[in-house]
Amino acid sequence: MNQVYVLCVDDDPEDLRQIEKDLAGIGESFPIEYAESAEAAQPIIAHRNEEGDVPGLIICAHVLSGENGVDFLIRVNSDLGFVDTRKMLITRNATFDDTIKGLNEGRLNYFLSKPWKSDELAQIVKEQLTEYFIRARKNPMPQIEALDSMRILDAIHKGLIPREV
Amino acid sequence: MNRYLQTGASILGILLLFLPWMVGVDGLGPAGEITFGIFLLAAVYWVFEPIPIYATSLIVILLQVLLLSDQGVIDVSSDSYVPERYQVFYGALASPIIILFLGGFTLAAAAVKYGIDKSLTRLLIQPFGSNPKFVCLGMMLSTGLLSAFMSNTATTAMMMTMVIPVIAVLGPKDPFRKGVALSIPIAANIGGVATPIGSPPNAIALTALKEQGIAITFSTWMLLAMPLVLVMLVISWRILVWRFPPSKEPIRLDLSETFQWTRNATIAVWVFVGTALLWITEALHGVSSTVVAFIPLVVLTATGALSATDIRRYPWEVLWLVAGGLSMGVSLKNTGLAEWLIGLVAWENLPVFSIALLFVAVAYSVANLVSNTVTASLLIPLATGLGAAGALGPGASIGTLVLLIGIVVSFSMMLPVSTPPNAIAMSTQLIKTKDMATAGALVGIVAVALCVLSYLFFWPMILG
Repeated sequence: MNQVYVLCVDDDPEDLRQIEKDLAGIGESFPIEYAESAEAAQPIIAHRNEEGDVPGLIICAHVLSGENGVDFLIRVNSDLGFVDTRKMLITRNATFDDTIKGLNEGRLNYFLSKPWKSDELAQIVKEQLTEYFIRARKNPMPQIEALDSMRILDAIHKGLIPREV
Repeated sequence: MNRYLQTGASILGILLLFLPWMVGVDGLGPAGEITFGIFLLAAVYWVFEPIPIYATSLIVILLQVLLLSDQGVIDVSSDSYVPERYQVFYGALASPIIILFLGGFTLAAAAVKYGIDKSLTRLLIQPFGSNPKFVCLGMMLSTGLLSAFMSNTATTAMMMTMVIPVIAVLGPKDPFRKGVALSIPIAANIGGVATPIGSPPNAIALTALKEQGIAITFSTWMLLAMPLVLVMLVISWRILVWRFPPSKEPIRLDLSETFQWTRNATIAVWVFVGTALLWITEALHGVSSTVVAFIPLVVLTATGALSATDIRRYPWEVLWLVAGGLSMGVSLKNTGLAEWLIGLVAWENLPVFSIALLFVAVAYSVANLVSNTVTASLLIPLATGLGAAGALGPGASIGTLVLLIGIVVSFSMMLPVSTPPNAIAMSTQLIKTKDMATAGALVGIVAVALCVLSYLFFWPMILG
């Protein structure tokens, strides 16, 4: 309830398993959802919405069966209103045009090309989630264990994140 | 589970709001019954937090305007209650004590924006050398001083960013890591007591004192509280050094100066120093601290040292939380509810000292679990009701009792949920709840004992 979660969309089960392995540490503080296509992600988002949960980060492959990653991220940003949600494209073969479109319209925040290094992914996810909490002005305390605590403390000090009484 | 508890609390609060009025209470007029309902709703919502605590404060004000004021939707006037002007309830949002806090927020915002707080800390820690024991003392004194003027939360967040690199140097086996990590929230909690603007419960106590005809100046408050704060900082330091003994390895802090004397930073420094001086010297010039508090607001915005963006970052909800407490206090007094509630117990058979101890025990325990401000908002009006009911007997002072409650709540720091500084320190994962509970309990017990001693011997000397 009122949790921030991570959504991973990739139609390659092998890659999805790798992501799951790399994000094991973060999974202790953040629920992580996996979907093999944009269409399969839809009911997951809807269900989480009902629970009052919001995606802090969406990691999405570009080439998917059905709707492609960039279009999905654009839709998430504008139609679903997840403006603060960090959006990350992780892909082997996006064209330059796709990437530009993603940047311009989807407010793509990070681009990572496959294959990636394990600790690299965990570090990026940590940074992106930290950025999400600061931008969304959300109380990070319940899930701070997987965040960059120095940046969070600094944001609390500067009043960028609301501080409880 | 949590959700059921919250839904349950939401419904219970609404039922309790109407209960006294529907059932009728002997000895209370309709206004008193409604105030009783508001009091119960606020207590349930503040304690179980089905909604944020500041939202509960706003509900209190709205209910008072709707049900107890001259603009109300029902008529509650009786022989004993003339509906209050609705401006009185709204006025709580801009009462002088709230303006005092606004002035404090303004200074804090400028200090943070221009890094004055960090530079001051570096300056203060320098003389404490590199012996871990004394570095820790230096950090505690700096934290205490800063949190006396800034929010305890912001101070803790800043000090933790300075402390984490030190802790990294200490090595994973060193027990003093925990000592250092605990020293910051403990010092911040204690430091909040030192000045009227240090912590929101102080505002509740000050307002109640004023209603009792006891006007306390900024410097008088400091005189009442500062000895306690200094002694507690040193004792807490000793406790931490004893529980988590440091090694002899010297530690080096990065104290390189980064302060930039830009135009705005210079203005901010002088406004900070000037305001603090005017506050402390109130006895000399007679301008109330609540009046002085508006000066930094004017100067810093007029010179552009603080922009609209900076102002938007003030913790406004803190002001609303306090205002709700102040507004509720008005009706508790005016409708006779506080007096009636106090009358439920035969206090006459109890010695004054036991009454004080009872209030201290309740205040300390409750504040460990819920917000200190909320605890003060609920208990202090009841304590002033003791005076109205004549339950304290001749010669006993309501003033010192109010002060006692207002100050004791700040020393409740056993659990991560007790205070925001505690929660921040816990979030760094350097300490376990067990460590915080032991250290917090030890500090708390000593502090409560010292508060009671001050109540008995020291404060009466100053308040007369």
